[in-house]
Amino acid sequence: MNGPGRIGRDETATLRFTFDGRSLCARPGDTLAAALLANGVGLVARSFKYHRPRGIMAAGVEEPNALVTVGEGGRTEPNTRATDVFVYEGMVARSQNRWPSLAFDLGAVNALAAPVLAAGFYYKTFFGPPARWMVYEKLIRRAAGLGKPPTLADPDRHQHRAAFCDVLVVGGGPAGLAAADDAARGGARVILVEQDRALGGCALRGDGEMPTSDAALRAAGVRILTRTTASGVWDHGFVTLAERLVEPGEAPPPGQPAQRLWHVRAERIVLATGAIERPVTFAGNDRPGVMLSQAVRTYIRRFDVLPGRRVVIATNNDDAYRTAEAVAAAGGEVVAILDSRPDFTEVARAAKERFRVHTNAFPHSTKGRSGRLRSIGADIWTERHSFDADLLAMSGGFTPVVHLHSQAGGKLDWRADIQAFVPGASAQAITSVGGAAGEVAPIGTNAVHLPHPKHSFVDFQNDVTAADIDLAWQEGYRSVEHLKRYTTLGMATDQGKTSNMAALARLASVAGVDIPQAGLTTFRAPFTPLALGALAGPDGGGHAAPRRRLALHDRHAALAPVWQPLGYWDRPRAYPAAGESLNDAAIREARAVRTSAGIIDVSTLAKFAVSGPDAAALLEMVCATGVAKLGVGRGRYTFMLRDDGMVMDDGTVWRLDETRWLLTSSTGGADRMEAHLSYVHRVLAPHLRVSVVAQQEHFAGIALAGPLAPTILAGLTGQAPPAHMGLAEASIAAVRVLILAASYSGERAFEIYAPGAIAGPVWDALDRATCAQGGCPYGLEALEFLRIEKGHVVIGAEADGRTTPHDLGLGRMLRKAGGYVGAQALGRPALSAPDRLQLVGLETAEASLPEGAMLVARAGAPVEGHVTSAAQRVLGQGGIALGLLAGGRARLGDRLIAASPTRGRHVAVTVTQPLFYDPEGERYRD
Amino acid sequence: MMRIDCPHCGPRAQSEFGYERTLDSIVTLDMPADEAMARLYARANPRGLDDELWRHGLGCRQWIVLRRHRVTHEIVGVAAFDPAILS
Amino acid sequence: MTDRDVSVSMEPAGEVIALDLWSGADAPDLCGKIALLRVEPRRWWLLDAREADLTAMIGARGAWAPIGGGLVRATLTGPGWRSLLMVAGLFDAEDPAFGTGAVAATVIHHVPVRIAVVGETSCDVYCAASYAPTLAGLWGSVIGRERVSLSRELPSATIGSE
Repeated sequence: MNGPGRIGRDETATLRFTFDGRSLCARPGDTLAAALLANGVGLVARSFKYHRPRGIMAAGVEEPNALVTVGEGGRTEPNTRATDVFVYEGMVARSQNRWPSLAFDLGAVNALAAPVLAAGFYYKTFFGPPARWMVYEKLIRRAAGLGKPPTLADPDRHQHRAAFCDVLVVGGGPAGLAAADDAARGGARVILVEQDRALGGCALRGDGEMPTSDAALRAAGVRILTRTTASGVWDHGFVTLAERLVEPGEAPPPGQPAQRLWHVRAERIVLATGAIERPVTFAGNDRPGVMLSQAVRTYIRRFDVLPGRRVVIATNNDDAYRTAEAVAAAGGEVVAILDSRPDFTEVARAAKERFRVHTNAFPHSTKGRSGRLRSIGADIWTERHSFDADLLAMSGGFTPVVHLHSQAGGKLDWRADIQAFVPGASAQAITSVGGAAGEVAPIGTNAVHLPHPKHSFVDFQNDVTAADIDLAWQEGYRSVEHLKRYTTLGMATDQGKTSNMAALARLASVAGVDIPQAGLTTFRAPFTPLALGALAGPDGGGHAAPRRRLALHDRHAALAPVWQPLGYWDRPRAYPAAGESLNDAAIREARAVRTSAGIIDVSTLAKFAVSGPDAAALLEMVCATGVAKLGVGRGRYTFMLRDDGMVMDDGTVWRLDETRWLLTSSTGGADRMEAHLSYVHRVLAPHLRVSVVAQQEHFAGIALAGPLAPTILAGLTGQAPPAHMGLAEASIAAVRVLILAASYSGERAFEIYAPGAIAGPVWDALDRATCAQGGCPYGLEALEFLRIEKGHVVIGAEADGRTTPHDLGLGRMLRKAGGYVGAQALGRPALSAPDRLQLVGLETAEASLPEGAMLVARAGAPVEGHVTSAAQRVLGQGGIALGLLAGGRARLGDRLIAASPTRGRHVAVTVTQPLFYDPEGERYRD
Repeated sequence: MMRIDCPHCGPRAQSEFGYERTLDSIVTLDMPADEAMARLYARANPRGLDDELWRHGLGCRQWIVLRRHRVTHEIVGVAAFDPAILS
Repeated sequence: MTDRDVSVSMEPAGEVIALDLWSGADAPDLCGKIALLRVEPRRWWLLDAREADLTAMIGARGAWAPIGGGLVRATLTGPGWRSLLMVAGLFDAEDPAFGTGAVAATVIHHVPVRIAVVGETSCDVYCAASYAPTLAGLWGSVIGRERVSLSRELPSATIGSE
């Protein structure tokens, strides 16, 4: 018998799964890698660039070769390490990067072309016109690849969860368990995370004992999270943990999330992340049947799987001798132990009694067929030897997992005896223990024989050989960061977990320096690949932010409007009748406002109750217009500036009584205005006795506009409506309301405010009364038509953060005495220069104008401005727009082109005043 | 994500806070125009510690001053904003 | 204990008034008549209060404005309330020091909230009404839609659609 297989009878293999369509069985607790080996499957994958046959090299998350795709449909997870997925009933796994099949892969011809696919191949070959690169890129991406991402939506939910602890222990091996036990005994809040399904770490392969148990720790109050990876350590003890609640591709129980991303804030972090065994570099070290020595022990002792029957061990340390014991105990044959060290250590000498041990011995090449290892060539002292074997267990030493320590800003120290970096000074309250702190077997460091560097793989996952590193050095790449990018070393999904030290050693040797001088690349999160769904968490789906629901949402929804997102809000854009287009509906609604009346939900406007003896003083600091002289019961338009003199927001300000005011401002600027009011009050003028209370949602707002609006309102309230820019309190449908006679549409209009929770009946009453007069509800699209005709600016469109009040034609409203935010900056001459972009109107005989179009004198001429908002005339014909034009106010009557290459439109326009309707304001008067 | 020790609420996640500006770029309303412009456009931008005005906007909504290292994010001091520092 | 040992009911917060006192150090003396929450160092929320009463009690010592029309109160009942608040949260609601009578302002799933601990097995979470469907959806997805009830005065939510 030859090749991998289960030790003894496999009666407990009850889980059924498939690999490349082949139905196989696994024992509960098997990783996919263990199950494949138990079933005699050695060839598992094809390599990234050369399509070389690959098997299973490791037993943990560092596995570079055995990447598979697990699951189906939207649950498909590509590039899953076969060593990091536990088999479940019905699991579907597939190999990757092969065609037509894993055993016969046409892409393997790339291996013949390996001499030209060396480091920097793409950079050297595919330069030239960008158009040509587009063609190359498609070919390259098809040939060199990993698994295919799923195209269907992820059907599962992912949860985000916060947690706080005194001590976070990362790693559930003996060192981590001891640390968690200590901390819990001291009364600390402890979280212990382990990426494996079971606690134990190296004890699971028989190295050491567990100092305590899962149950004892839980009893002591430790929160234990298994199948959970500490993927990143960030600032101030913030750690992200990715918890798998089901295996890749597995459906979670109904209602349960598939993954949970923990946001942990830890006072102290203990890293017990262990060490990763390094491969040995020689020709054909990537062949199936070449494995890491500790991985071989893990398969034997944890999974009852013997990965090969005739085993050669290649090592530079004593740890691998334990593998010889494990192989022998499992009934395998230890063909030879190749120890690269020249002298027998105590352990080697003891092993010599039972095994063939060679010192100064190096594997130089392997031979195999059909994805099976057949023999190993070795240099022993000065002679060449060949060993028939189906498994090579290699150990090139151990690299402490310093990723998280390093991510957190910690320094690294070099340890020559283990030829590895260990954690040095920590930038945060982080300590490393056990293997992660460098408690690993020392290694021999005599020079390595490497007769075939072109076939000796350093980075298995990205197909980087020792020769590629040599070449990069020859071509002048001195910095390890440059070498990494040129060769793609360490840039695969495993981020070079097994390869980085071997690569550094090679670089140091060609450079003739010590490894610390060769440098080290940056460790970045995530430690292992993280599902995008887990990062998105509950934000998946249509929006990354929650949608805010209007108090009157259900009433709008009953009218089946076209919804429009406006900031976080969803608002009705128009209420089309059956078969009516959006534009037709908007024009019908706008005409109703011009000829009878309409109502619109304006609840999202920001509103602030500003009260107290110094309320007027605060408002005069915030508003650039005159405020304090406003009489009780009156309101006016106002705008606010930033420190730099640019318009920040606009709105209306109302005096409710001597010391109580109401300020409204734009929907999109609501949060900014809340912070700004607080800034001006608490930072600039803390002596003021004033209270600012945000009432954005306290009041739902309904605007009633149109020539019939006063009649409708009088009918509903039984009292005379307030004059334009006046206010009144009244009752509508038995609800107390505040009526502000402000107009945005150019018609006589009222904003009616009622507490949001009881505003429904007010809407109903207004809706009935308005419709009875031939009016209708209108949406944002009609509102836009109406305000553009009237030349009202919008924050974001016309007031785009680069416009001053002068630019917008609002200069006359500025308070001459100053004393408001932005006054100093606004005094600079350049901010009122006549050649600045100024607000103008634009009109055309065509039906519409493209928004965002450039304003040019003729095609190809320099850009002189742009169209900010466009509409069609509500009652007349033709397109109108507002725009910003250099020196625009002096250019009335100029003929320009509104050019929009992206929409393929060039429209002849005439520059006008930014006011297209009722210039004298006759319609506001009763 | 940083942790900021709010003088009113205790340690909280950075997400609850908003950065406003450095202390030396606060423009008071009675400041001469030249000084105002200097504070807006010619302020120091040290690669190291600086005093910053933040607001616990999604918490207690109070203004606080952080002495924070711009490179390492180390926060060496937090205090409630004291208007006296502007006079 | 798990996340699921809790149920949620959400309803309009009713008459709530935000009160600022010019000297903010002390709690307002409301003769024990009105329940209040200190939500900021100088701001209190008065629950089920009427503006008319305040004129007599506060006078010129401060100013106030109603906010209840846009506020929703979610009452979380059951020993699992602390655990539920950790979902998509930022604040350490599992800290035993966060006990009865404590009030904290924080963010849950991007929604600004104020949490008032009512007792060992209950807390109130206040949020803007427009966000209530979002929180209802989030919580419904964790503890099951049947454990989240939304009063009919609130805009309808598709609970558990998150």
